[in-house]
Amino acid sequence: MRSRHLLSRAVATLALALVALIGGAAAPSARADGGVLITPSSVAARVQAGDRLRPVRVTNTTGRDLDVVATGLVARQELSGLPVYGLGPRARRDGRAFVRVRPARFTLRAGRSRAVVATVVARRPQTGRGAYGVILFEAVPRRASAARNAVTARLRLTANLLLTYPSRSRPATALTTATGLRAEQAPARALRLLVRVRGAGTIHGRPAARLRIRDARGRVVGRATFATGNVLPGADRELPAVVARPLPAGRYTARAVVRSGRSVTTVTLPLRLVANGTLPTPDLRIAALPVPQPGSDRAFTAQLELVNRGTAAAPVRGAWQLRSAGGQQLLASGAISGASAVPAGGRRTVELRLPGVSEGRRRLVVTLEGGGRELDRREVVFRAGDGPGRWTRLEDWAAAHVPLVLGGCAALLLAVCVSAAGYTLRLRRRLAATT
Amino acid sequence: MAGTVAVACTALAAAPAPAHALCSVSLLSPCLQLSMPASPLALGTVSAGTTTVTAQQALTVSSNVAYGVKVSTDLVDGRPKEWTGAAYVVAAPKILANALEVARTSYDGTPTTPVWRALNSTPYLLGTGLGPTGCLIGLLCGTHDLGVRYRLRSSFSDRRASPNSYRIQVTYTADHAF
Repeated sequence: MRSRHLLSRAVATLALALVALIGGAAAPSARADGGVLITPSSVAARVQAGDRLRPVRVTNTTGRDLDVVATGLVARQELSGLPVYGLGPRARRDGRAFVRVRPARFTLRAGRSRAVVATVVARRPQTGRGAYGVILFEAVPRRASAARNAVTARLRLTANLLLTYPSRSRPATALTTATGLRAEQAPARALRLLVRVRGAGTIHGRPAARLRIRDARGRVVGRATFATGNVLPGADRELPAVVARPLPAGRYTARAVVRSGRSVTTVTLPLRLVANGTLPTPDLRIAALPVPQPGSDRAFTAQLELVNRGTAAAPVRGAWQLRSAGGQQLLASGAISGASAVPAGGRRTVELRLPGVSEGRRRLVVTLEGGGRELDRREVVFRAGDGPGRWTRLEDWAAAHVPLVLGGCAALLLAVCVSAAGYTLRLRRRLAATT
Repeated sequence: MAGTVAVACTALAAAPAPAHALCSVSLLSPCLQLSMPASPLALGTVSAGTTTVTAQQALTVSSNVAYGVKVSTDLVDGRPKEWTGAAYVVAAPKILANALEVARTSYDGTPTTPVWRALNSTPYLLGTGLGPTGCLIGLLCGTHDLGVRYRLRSSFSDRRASPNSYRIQVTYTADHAF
């Protein structure tokens, strides 16, 4: 134990020495603003109910005392691999049935650190399966609210928990299979390929995936290894790989091979490069979704501004939802359709015709979809009801479009002057003719 | 309207140690550090019908695993609310007409095209697919600086909150990929 401690100290000292030597290179912007550090920020363990997990150490690197709240939450995984968790009462209740965190609240003095320990709680039998979640650390400066107009930030950091429950009768399987492959243009004429994998086992797996690109003659012209990561059971995740060497124009076949234990799955994708290292790729995003101001129970429209920063035309597909302000209750939903494709580098405004909603705060959720995945998502919360009057809205519009208003006024003034001058001249001629 | 909208970034002062050093000595354990913007962010007195854009705020992240940083507000619709100095006004509070907006304006010192988004209580990802912050042999982790700006468009319907002010709190969330 002592030798391990000494080894850790020695490696830590070496690390600090190396930091001192190459600190400038390792830290492109070595700012000393201070914040919160957690380590380890991921805990993977084989557990049973009642086990204590490896402590997570929270360090306050600011110059002030922080109030810290630690909460255990159940989490899922999104396509990028990041955890998804709720913060509502139900999510917190589920979290308490997952792990118990001690201490749950504490004050962390400036420059100090503290260990937080999670104990596994299993009210349901989880044998042979995995359970996943996070310990959420929320930190706010202590007594910050006393100062008027000086509101402090809240920092949230999460430590991921990957827990597996061993069983003799039901052995755990960490199976991951490839379900799709897509390619997109990367900077400097590189290609970025993303293989989509799905966790098909009972616990998380960490697949190994490699890429081969063959030309029309079948020769291998590009190779890469996909960056890997944990894939949770039932979750989809995209693993990226970059082919940096620009390929000449032509037709290719990309093939991704994903290995997970003894399982090997393969997916292929035909590619057509139109120029050296150039793969036409749409990149449709929501540029803006202004907060609507509808009256109560009246149908209204929302302006959805789209931008395509890619190199190919992008079809517009997606959906909208009207929800309660908190997002729990679905009030109405519909598809975004009928809009023509947005050309490469182009912008388009799509009018969403939405049904009336009763007075109060509501949430509008708009998602863009393509290739079986969510391209972009935007949520705005608005108030239905008697909003500002027409005059106020006109004032706001004028304030937001000052050059247009001034230009319009100048043009109107000029037109009036020209008309008045013309009328005066005609009047003088007529008077001269009559006299 | 004469409200001050202090946005959540005022209190944390200088750190006793550089961020990269702290993430480095965690050895091979995954680690994650998130620092707040250094400068206070008060929008001061805002005139009706104007748009106020803050100076760039830098969030610093140090990590040896791929991560994502999200931003959200404590108020569900992201609109600054009347604040007594100790708490939000409960009875008939004044609320600004427009939500606070955020845009990522730089990444590691490289300017990016700002895409403004109205903030609300749902976390919005400031950057997707952000990789680890350049760790050398898993030990010496650099930092990523995320530059963000906030924008507030005041309306002619906004009212003066004096003697109170307007307030909203921004929450920065850093998550590791599994």
